[in-house]
Amino acid sequence: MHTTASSSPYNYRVVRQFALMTVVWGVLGMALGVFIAAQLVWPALNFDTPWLSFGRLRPLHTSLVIFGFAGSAQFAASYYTVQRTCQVRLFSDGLAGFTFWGWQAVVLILLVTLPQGLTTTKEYAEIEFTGAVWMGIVWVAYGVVFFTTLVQRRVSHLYVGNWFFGAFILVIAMLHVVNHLAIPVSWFKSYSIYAGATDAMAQWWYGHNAVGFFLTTGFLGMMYYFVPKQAERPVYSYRLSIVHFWALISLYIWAGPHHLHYTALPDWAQSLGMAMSIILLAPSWGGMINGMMTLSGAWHKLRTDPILRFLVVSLAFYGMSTFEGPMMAIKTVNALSHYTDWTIGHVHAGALGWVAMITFGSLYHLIPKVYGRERMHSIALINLHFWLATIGTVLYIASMWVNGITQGLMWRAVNEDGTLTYSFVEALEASHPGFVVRWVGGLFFLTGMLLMAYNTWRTVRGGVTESRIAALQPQLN
Amino acid sequence: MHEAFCTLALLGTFFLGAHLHLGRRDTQDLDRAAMLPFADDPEVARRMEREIRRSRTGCSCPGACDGSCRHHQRMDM
Repeated sequence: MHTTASSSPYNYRVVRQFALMTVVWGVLGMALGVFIAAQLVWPALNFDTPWLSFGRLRPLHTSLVIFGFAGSAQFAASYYTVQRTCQVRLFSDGLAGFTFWGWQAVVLILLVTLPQGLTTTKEYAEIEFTGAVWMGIVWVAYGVVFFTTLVQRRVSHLYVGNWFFGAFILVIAMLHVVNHLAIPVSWFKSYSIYAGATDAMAQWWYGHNAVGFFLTTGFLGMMYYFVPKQAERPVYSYRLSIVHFWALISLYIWAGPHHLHYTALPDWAQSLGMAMSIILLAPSWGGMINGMMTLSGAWHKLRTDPILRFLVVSLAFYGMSTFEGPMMAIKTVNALSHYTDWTIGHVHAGALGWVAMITFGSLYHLIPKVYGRERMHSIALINLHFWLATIGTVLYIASMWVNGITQGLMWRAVNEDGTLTYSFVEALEASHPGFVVRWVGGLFFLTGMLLMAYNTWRTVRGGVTESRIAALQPQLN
Repeated sequence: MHEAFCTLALLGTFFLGAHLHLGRRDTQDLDRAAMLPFADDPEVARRMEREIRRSRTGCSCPGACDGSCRHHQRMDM
């Protein structure tokens, strides 16, 4: 696809690049998720091969969907939104282009190293030393592009979505550097400077904020732009959006210890994590309500607009997950749920229900705009995608809830003489039906993703219609 | 001790941030800010103004707005 950047006031080229790679990594990452789900149903699918084993492919799945799919979506959406709300072209086409190729290189490094077992073993931070350094360099470039664009803006106010994107960029930089501090011994082998409970705390401060900032704050930035634009309504309460922002970033950073209940982590840290996680319900739901109520007077649009359905249902799942999370952070609840499939169900309620669906809605909105099309190739396919995604997510979550409670109760059951009632294997056998339903749910979700890939290809083939983009774009003074 | 420090840090960040962000803004400012996603999209903005009867510029013109009045940009009415 040849494009000429000079005819449009905005840099849509890098947005197009990231949008397409979001779809590509989404397909690959979710297909891998379906494969590893199948491995838990049919263990023979490990093929007795190290690089195909569940243990090596599971972190590759999480890395592809977080950094490949969600990461590319964040770049696309933040670059699109910051330009349109600041009414200025993105700073430095060259540096923005570097962030695209650099980020794809990060994902490729993960694709190549993780199946070989080259891993830090830190969850969501498995990328080994050289890859982590490169990721840091790309991230600094991202920050330079984004913040310089903000400084060069042609409007006086910084739209609230940009506050969320900015916080996401800054906090992820801090998390990445601190958690990856290590002594390298070769290109892809290093030893963390932390040890024991300190290492666990650093890891789960990072791990929870990977969810809280990478998968929430940035996507809230997306929500605050694309929900109003698609609904053609301003955000319900701008005042609430600002309070939501400050409350969220103040609280989220403290929630990490809820991953370490009843471990060697000091009691005060566990209690702090629990308390902050529960209080976090308030700003999370404030944001959800703000997004939902933006549809006031426009609810009728849900009847005919599947893009809006994606955006609104993503907010519903966001509300559900941000209620479930604080409940699971309570120590007594966590005593049942920790290490069970309930945690996986909770993660995917957020990842599929919130992150993926807000991404789908946002991309379906922005792809036609950056390619100069009136709309996506097929609205019917978007609708079909919506139903497949929703059904898939519900099947996934429900099966994992059942599995999680079953596992928790079976593991904790003791006889009168104090011995365990069930062996671990018995609990695993009881989980098998849930693994099957989870695999089916994942298959539904992946099918929807494949429909999106087809719909996107049909929309974008033939290249960019620059004249249509120019007609749709503002006349910047 | 640790919990007290963390709580103070959290509350301080929240109150200071929210106050600095909101303190100097009046309702009109916030209204204009909320309309920023529509500022560069005249076609959608006009549709929105007709449907919600509020100006995308946050002007102080009394009454319901359809975007066509001569006071569209005025803040002083």
